[in-house]
Amino acid sequence: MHEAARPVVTLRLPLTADFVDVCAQRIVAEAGAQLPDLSSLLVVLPSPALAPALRQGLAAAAGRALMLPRIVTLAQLAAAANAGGQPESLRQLALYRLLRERGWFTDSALWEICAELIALFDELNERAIGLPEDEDILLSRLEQAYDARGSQLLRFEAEVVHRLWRAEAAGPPGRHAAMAMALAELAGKAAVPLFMLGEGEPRPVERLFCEAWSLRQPVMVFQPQRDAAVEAPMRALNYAWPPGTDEPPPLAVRADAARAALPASPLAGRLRLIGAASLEAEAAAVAAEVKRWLAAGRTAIALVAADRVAARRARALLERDGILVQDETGWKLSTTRAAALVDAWLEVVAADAYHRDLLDLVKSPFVFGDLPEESRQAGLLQLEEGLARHNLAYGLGRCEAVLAREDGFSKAVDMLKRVAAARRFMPRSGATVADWLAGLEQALQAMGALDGLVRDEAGATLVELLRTRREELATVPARLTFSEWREWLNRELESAAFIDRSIDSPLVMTHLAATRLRRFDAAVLIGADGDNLAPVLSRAVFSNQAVRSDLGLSLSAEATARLRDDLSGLIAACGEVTATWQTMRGDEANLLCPELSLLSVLHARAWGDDLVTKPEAAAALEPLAGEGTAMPRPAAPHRVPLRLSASAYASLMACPYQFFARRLLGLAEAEEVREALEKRDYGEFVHRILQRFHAAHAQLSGQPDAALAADLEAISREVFAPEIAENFLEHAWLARWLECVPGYIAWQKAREASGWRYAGGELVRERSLPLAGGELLLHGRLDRLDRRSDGSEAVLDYKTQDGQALKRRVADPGEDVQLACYALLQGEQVHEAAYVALDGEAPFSVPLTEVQGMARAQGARLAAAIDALRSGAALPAHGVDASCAWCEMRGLCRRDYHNQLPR
Amino acid sequence: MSPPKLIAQALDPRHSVVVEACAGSGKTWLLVSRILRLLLDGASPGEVLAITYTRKAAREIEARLSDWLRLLAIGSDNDVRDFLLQRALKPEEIDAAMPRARGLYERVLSAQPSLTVSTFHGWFARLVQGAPLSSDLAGFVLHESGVRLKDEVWQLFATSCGRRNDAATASLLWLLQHVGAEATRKLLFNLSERRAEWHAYAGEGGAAPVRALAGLRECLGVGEAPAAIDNLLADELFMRKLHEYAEILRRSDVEGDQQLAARLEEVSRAADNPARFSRITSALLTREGTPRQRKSAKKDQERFGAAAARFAELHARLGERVLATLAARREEQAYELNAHVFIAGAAWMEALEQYKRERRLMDFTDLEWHVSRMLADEPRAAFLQARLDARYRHILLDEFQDTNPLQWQILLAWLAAYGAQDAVRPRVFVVGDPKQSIYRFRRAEPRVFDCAAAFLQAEYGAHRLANDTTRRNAPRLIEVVNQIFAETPQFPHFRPHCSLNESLPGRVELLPLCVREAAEAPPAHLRNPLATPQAVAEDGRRRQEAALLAARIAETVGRWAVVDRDSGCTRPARYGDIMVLTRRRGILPEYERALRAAGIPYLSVGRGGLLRTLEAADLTALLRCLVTTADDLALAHALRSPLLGAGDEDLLQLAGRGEPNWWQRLQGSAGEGSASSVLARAAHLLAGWREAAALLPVHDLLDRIYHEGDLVVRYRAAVPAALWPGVAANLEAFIALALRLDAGRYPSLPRFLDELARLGEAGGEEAPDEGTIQAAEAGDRVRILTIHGAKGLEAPIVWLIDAHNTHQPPDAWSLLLDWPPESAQPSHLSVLGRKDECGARRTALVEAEAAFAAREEFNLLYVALTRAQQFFFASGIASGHSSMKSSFWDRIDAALAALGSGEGVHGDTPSTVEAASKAMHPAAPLPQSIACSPAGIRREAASPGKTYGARLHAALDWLSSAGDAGRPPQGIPAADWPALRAAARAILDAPQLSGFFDPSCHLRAFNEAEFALPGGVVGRIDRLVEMPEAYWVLDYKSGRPEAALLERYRLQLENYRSAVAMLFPGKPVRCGMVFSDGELLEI
Ligand code: SF4
Repeated sequence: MHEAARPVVTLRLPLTADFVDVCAQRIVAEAGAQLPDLSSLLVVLPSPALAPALRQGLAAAAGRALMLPRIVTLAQLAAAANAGGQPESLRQLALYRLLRERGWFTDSALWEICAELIALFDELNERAIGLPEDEDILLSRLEQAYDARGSQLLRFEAEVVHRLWRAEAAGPPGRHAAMAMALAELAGKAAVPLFMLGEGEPRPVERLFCEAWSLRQPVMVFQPQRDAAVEAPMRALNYAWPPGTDEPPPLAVRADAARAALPASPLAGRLRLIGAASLEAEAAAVAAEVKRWLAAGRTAIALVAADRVAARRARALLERDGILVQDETGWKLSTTRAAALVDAWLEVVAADAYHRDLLDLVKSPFVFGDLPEESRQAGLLQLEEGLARHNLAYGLGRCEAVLAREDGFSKAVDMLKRVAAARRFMPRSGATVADWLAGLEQALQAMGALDGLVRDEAGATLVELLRTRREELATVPARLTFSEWREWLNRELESAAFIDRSIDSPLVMTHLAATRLRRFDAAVLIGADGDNLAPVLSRAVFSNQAVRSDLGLSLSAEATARLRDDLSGLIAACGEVTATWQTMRGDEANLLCPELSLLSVLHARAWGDDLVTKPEAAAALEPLAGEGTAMPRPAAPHRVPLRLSASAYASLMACPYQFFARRLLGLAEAEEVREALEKRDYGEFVHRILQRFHAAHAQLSGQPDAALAADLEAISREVFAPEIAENFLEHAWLARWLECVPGYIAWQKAREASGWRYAGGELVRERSLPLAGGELLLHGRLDRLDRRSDGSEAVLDYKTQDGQALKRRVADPGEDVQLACYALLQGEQVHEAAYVALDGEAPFSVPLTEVQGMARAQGARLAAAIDALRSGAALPAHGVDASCAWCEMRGLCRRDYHNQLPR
Repeated sequence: MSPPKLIAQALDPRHSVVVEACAGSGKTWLLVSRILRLLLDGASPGEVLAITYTRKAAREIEARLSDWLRLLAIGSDNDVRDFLLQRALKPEEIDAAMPRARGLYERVLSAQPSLTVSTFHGWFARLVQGAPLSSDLAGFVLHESGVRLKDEVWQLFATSCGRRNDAATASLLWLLQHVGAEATRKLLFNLSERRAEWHAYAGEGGAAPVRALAGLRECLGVGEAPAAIDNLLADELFMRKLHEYAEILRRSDVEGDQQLAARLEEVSRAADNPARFSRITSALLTREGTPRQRKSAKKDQERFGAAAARFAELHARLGERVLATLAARREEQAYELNAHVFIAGAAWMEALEQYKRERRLMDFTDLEWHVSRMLADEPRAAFLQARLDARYRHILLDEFQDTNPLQWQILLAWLAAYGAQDAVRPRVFVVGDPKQSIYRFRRAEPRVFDCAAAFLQAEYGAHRLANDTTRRNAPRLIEVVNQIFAETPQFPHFRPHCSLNESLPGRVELLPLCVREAAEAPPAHLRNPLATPQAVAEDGRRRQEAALLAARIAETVGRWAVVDRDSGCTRPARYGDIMVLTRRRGILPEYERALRAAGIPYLSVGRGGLLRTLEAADLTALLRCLVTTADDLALAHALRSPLLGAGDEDLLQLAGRGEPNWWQRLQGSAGEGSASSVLARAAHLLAGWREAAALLPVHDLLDRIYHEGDLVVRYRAAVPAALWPGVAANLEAFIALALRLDAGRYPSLPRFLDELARLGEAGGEEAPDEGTIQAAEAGDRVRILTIHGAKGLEAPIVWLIDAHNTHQPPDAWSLLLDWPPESAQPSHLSVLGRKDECGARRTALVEAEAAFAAREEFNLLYVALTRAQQFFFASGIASGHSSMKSSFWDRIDAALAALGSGEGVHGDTPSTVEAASKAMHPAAPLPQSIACSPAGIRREAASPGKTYGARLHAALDWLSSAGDAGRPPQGIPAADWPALRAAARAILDAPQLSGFFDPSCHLRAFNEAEFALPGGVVGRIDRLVEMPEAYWVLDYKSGRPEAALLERYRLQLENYRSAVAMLFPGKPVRCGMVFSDGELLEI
């Protein structure tokens, strides 16, 4: 058609709600001769989201059936024209390798620096500017801008940036360069008229493309502008945020002018600012607004999520009522369950199957997806139990070997085998990215996770990402270590988005920039505080404004202007906009963002209303004349056990309800893997050592101290050895015990001197006590029994705790049941029952007084209590603070909520 | 100085100023006013840097500034005028200032760079983020590496030590064996807490411990290897004298002397020097380590005759030598401990730093250290500022008494770089109160205040001002404050205060100490556990005190008149007017119990954070039983929570069933229909949640639980009224926590639970806080706070409990660190070991440390007292053992006595007002949610078939519009391209279709031809071809549709046909479907 150069026609139109319609009308008017077939026209949009509105607009403007023009974005246009260029991943890896070779920085910083540089280079490319050819010129420009001369630091910075920029420029074209080339090529063949809708001032690529196109075909650009406003709301907004760069008159003056020009506020009823006291209150306020709008029949509602957290909370509240939200922005892939699985796997690989990671991995709903659910669950149960029971903190091979030795863990072993098989697919050391990725996929396959992943939407996105990268990077020979590669993968998963496209809804969740030129009935701006709703600044490598300006990079003033444009566009295009924010975050004040604050103040001055409203009351927190919870007093005569241990008795004494939960309900804390020795374990070790020692030396008298001590020490070292091998810190426990060794031998000899002889350890005893209608079996295990030649006996209990505490314990013999029970279990011949305090250099014994009397009395009390329980007595939860502090049944007795607490 | 004059000087923008301002004098007011004055004076917002101690305070300053600027922007001229006059603007300046004042709000809000109000750490973080590439600080994430991270690295460190065999391993082993695992961990953790100071003291790199140890040797007067004992024993003269001494002893016929002599004779037979030395000491010294006393000179005369004088001399000399050796020995022991701590510690800190470096983590200590290094290096510092556009001309430092020496060094490096004539030299405003310095445990150093003031006076010509006028406290209260502190030499900086509230009634009341009740007779019988709770061993003093507190509060509220801060009117006291202060949280349950019993609503500082609360434990248990089938206790716990509401009889029913675990029992009983309605509901809900748990993110799962379980209503009914607001806030905080943890990378329910467990164990600052109850929602409640937590707060009535307690838990294994603020690095750094192993050489340092601690005690009392606007109470319990230290109670008591106030009361008798009803508010109904019908639909997820169809479609499009066959169009993964390309080619090349794709056969063709109809209907035709004889509408289908579907397609094509006919009249329109095998089906 036309073959002549003519200037690009730029139409500056007011930024109004119907901007797209106005453009459509102009296009139809311009191309009237070609109706009804506009298919030869090209219309370029800034965002694909505007296409539906434009089609509608064109149809309406034409008033008849028509073939629509080709409607695309520049990126789509370039992509269609074969303009892939070098994949980003390739470019990134190339830059990374360069950085790594240079050795300028610590390795762990490289990916981040790489990302910063790429952001800088992208911005340079996008703005169609470059860096000076000569490094020294760059340096001198930086020096000038920074007002700093001859600095080593500056030279280094200039060198890094410049060299890498040159290196990159010498390589194959990147995304932006390729796009620019493709567009130039297209423009060189321009054969149809071009219409372009802009979002504001055209970006350099847009400008260049239009200019090139206009050499061969007419070009018309529609550019929205706030300052040409005619509609009242936009005019009011312009008073608050004066467009243009000139110094505006003071706010108060503008407010007065606004008042004079617009006697009634065009924003009242159109804009509400809601300050909520908390996250929950904000989410509730958002949900309430949305519901109000839906009830009023609104059909296009935007949820602009400046604060993703609050938006997510609000979305959950809406979903409670079946109100679904279509999410345009999506989630970082790294926040999906699918990615969590990959990470759990990498953790297992990295830390030799640390048990928590291993369980996290196998509990992922994807893993072992090929097993029937029943047997998967059974396997998980076995695995969890097996790891805890055998204290398998890590080590795949070890876990498998240990569990394989025992019956009842076959399913768990099978699972471990599969995980181990998967492990073998992962490269052992440095490998190319492609090999790492191939290994990962095979490993997932081996664990039966791949199919499940592909069926899951986020999972499918993830798998596709992995495969695409593998393809793109197939030829790169660079080898990455596991952690380098993992960092790379993390960044990939962090930057890729997963968008759930399965929801169609009048509610769209999006971000502010994506609302440009779009039309909604209503919009809620979630998180309108200064932190969340801030201008989007690019700070890559350089943050100094003078430097940025000198290099032609974006400035913060532009970002602010952009934010103001977007806000006014949104407010002007929607019937109603509500902005919410949290006035407090925890205990910190949190202010409304500066833009809206200015607007609010101007509005207050001009029309006497600051637009701020309080949210409707959130969940009422005023106390209900609530009943609280009464102390439970269950009774269960038929479940009262007739066989009890001394520790069960102690529990009954501490708190009957605790006894109820432990013995009548049979509940206990779940076993868990123990990673370090605890006091309790230490006690057990000491028992074991002494048991072995006395088994070998029933009598010490007459043997030399040194030999005995050496023997006891040898046993001790042997018992502790595996623990120390596992954990170096356990040396301390051993040392602590070894300190007692000489003292113990002396104590034992003294004991022998006073006539006592060791007569056995770890003795299981049982004794029946008469009950009203039957008998009660008391049982227990004695640490140690001593005997004298006259047949009298002593029951001893080793304690590795502070001796003073033991003394206090025994001082109240009625409360301390253990020794009395042991005496009772062993019989009448027991003359002594004592704790042996084994802490510090000199052990000593803490005996119970009046042994036999106390044993009888305690036995009688136990029998009486059991009798009472069997005839229906209740088990109150009246533990005292000291008992409750360590009680695992607190969730059952609900003590914290009791109306009255015992002391 | 009169207040107006002081204000005028403090706000004068031309001068640097240091203000020492007492409690209640309005520090924030002054600081924000100064910022305002600077701005009015023409400072641009970006030139102002204000630094305060907490983020909360920073945010408060910002909020205050914003409020004031807003008033200036839109207030009436008169209001603005008054406002400016209050801030010491001269009347004649006001008119000129007016326009600028009005424009400030906008100027500040839109300033780039903006006005900075920050904490030290916030500011440092910005410096580091702006650091030049050469600093190698790119990509660091600020992460408060608390105990959890350290424990993880600690384990790794230990493991790596186990595998190595170097000095660090040997030292770690020594420590483990000599001080135990706990103490080792504590020592090294303490050291790494202070690693900035460590680096400042010892430098960086491998030689740091060597340098540190050299310094320590000098301080302790020891050599590298222990030598004290060997030296003594090698001293022949000493040995000879010892021999002589033994000889003389032999002459005595007293058995004790003979024994001593025997012991000395054994010396030569002992195995080694230490054994020899211990014999000597035991002969010469008592068990307590003091020289043995001889009975009397006369007795010795009898025993030793002529040698008696010589004996006495030898006894004294030898004793001295042994004592000196022992003292030297103790220094050696201290050195040995320190050597191991330094060597292992340096390796430990390196491990910690490496771990963080690899992960690019940085905590506040690292931040401080990096910043101090960067700023100490002048070119780097200048460049740094330039990079940041930070051209600060006005620096305001708030709460300056809480600054630590390193922070001061950082400031100093910056400030000292300017010459006096430097035009861009900033002006500095410092405000603080050394009397309120209570953060030594966070390294705050009150001496910095005077040091900085002196520097600023000398170098910056700063005015130094003191404000001792309170706007907060009543005069009667101030009298007591003055009495307590004025004469206290350990409390410098104190000048008698005066109060601006002349007429405000006030009173200080000291309650008698609660004393031990007569001991109860021990019960004659053994206790019946079913009937009687265990007797608590503790006596009832604290219970009495708590009862007293509750009773007095009950009397006061509704009766005593207080002056309302906001309105200035007198009204009856409310619960919310009362603040109860404590030094320790541990004692609070007793007081809370008393308040609960008396029906007094209260809010208490949490006892260990959110995760220790029952409601958080409930939810955790619930989540746990969803991932771990066999966790019976977790399931039972969840069942008993209000959410599921099971009773003990329900649990008993489950306990009686035979299935292996409780989950199966519950589902089994529900399946059989034998379950109670409660259990049936629980079984149903739990089964649903378990299914959801595999799919939903934790937050969404929790939300479903809250919603389906009707959680809020159920908890509200189960919780005592007084606790409800706290529980409600915690329920919110828990879901917010899930949201926060869950929005992070790689969420899964097991990980979330692990994280909860870890956070729960971490305790302290890392544990998530209990939900904050916003004041408005808290209703009218007594607040219980620690003194530290009350800093910056005030209340009409303040009650200090436990005021007679002087017990300080010993701070074992602590670090002895002296950093005089005048010097660039610490002058001493070492660890203190067990008391008996700590020699005398460091006594002065230890004592200085104790003096600082004592000083801080005064500060605490000062802070507590000055929280009260009108009424202050103190109560306490008589201590069981007498203490040398005087308690808060003692000090107040002495002051009251000195003021001549009898009966522990000083001040006005409060006027009483007739009580309005104190009844609890009636229950407000929960708000009804707005009725609303569902919106939005969830479509079937894209099936693989559908995806394939769409892609084939795209491939056809791509190839038929001359796309590059070598690479796929957008949206098709490269891996899938070859197959798709082949499939598309098969269609394009099908002979029966070739006419539609061969340009020589058709007139024109469109791919994805879009059309619109007047009604707004928009359609898209896969391919529209104009053949010479007709238009063809082609529709691609990837599979063979069923009959019903075919019918739908047919209809759709008919629509297309009519649309094309409308658009291009005159030619017939033919339609067909193209299948993947290339067949064409004409409609
Ligand atoms: S928490 Fe206390 S009251 Fe509850 S069962 Fe345990 S010991 Fe008894």
